[in-house]
Amino acid sequence: MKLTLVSDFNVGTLGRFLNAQEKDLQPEIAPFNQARQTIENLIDGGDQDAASFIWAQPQTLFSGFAEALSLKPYNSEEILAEVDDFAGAVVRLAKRQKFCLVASWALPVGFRGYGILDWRPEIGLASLLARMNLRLAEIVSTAPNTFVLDSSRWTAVTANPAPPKLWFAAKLPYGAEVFKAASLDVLHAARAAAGRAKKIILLDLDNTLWGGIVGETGWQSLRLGGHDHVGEAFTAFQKTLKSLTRRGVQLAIVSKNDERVALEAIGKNPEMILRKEDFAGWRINWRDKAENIADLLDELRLGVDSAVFIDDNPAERDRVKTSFPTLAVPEWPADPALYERTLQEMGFFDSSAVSEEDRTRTSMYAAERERRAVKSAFATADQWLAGLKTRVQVEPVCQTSLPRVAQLFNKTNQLNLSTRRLSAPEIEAWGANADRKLLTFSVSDKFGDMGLCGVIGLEREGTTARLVDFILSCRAMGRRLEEAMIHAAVDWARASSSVKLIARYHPTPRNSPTLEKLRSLGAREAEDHLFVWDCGRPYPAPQAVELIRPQTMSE
Amino acid sequence: MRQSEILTIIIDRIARLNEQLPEEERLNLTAETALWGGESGLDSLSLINLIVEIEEALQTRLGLRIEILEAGVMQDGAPQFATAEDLSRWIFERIKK
Repeated sequence: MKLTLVSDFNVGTLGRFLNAQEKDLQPEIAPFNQARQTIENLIDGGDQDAASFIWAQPQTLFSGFAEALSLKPYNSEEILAEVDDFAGAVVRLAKRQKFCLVASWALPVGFRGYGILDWRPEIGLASLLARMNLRLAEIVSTAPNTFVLDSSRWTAVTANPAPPKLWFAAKLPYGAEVFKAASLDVLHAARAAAGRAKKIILLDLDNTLWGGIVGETGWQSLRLGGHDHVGEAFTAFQKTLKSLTRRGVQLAIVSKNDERVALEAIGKNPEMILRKEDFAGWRINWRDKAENIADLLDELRLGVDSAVFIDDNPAERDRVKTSFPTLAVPEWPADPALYERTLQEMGFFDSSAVSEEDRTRTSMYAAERERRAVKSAFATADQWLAGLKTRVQVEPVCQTSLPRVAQLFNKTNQLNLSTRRLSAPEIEAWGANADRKLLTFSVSDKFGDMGLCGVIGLEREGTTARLVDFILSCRAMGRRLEEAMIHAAVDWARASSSVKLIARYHPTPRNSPTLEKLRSLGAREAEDHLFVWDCGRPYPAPQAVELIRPQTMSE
Repeated sequence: MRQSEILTIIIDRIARLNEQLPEEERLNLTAETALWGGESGLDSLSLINLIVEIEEALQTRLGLRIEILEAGVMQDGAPQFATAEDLSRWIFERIKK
């Protein structure tokens, strides 16, 4: 993907870091010091497969701010009007591209402005710049595919972020460390925009979640919390892990331990922040960790590229890194005092939206564990399904569900008919056509709410209806929801006077379960990968599922 | 202070520079690594980054203030800095003076 770097200073070093770290990203440096013109040119050009990163100094973008920087009195409303104009251009650009990133504005390193008055409204530069940044963030937030990146994080990574000699010799306002930090944030943002944020952290226990070896000392003697600087460091680390679950990141345990002893520690140690219900799953035994990880991720229906592995033991980290090249295994500090910060600084989990479902995902996994436990108690799958009392709410896509729908489009691999990777605005635009329909499927059962799990995209062409998208979250697979979705699709096709519903399977390396499922859903395979349902009669809704839907599917 | 300490810093900064470069363009981490001239794969952007980083590291780690940029190294034909070894020797000679 082409990424245009728009700046008023030399961003060659940034381009190199991006190039060195991500082969799929093709950074292209826009003409120097023509930020606004470049933005307008990109708007005119319009390329939905491209993206931009705008990192420019406010004194170059806004004449009013340049004057203010020389300590002349300023009119904040005039300057904010300039910001409005710029931000509006960024929003227009975002509509023409895959996504757009803008670096927040910063004062020159070491600049004191008005000293102790610099935060005084209508006087100070710090105060003015804060308002400008907020105004920028407010306006660009109207474009779901535009993100402001906090540039202050990049200059904070080194004690000397801006060696003056670099600016005077090469128009480099920052040293390499700053550009490196910026490149990491840009890469995380690009991955988030592509739906490739990491979803789960796999955690070791001994000397990772707590100090000590529980099998040797017992849970009572673990270093955790208390008036102990090491124990406090582990507590802080656990608190940060817990906070990540509120963003939708899952936690799981992969530990070489006696399971009973380890779970007892998690349950009984009063200083534990994380309890059993905070974990999506665990493998606590004496087996090889790589094998355990493969097994656990399979159970949770997550790919290895969605996981991050944290372990204090470098040998274990190396084993996992070697076994799974796409599983993130960050270097881990030896000092527990650095655990919390190392975790906080990770950008693996940056995602382009946070939904209510994300915030409750941990409880969904806990409920799923209960479902599996119940399943093992039933003689047949149908008995188990009937016992779940599954309800499915079928609704057209709306503004509220759009972020979650976009997530499903971009993150679902196994049950995905066409694997179209579309942004929220693109999905909305596609569905706005009168001959098309996007329907969502939200699932709940007696154990809890599973949230919005499925999407279908339908299109009418004459007397033929086409199932363009057929997407189901892997956690909802195998519960007759696929039949419910086809029932809804055929219903819509019949209501729109179509004689047949067709679906073409587009193979990818990971969606072979879709083909398997299509072959079991009562369609005729008219040719290789083309499936046809006759709309002369209704497609039966699965008995194990209660469907709640609009009056007619054409609504 | 020994010349080898200065060479260590130079090689360490070359390793940092390598992070910016694709794998196939990364420099070897030896005393013979070419920094200037036809043998070197470094362009002016890499060179300026490297020089400033070396100057900073010499200051913070060894307390040395050396102006490498002012010695005209960005001009063509600076044979005294052809390799990492050459640069370390030049710096060492300057300190001794």
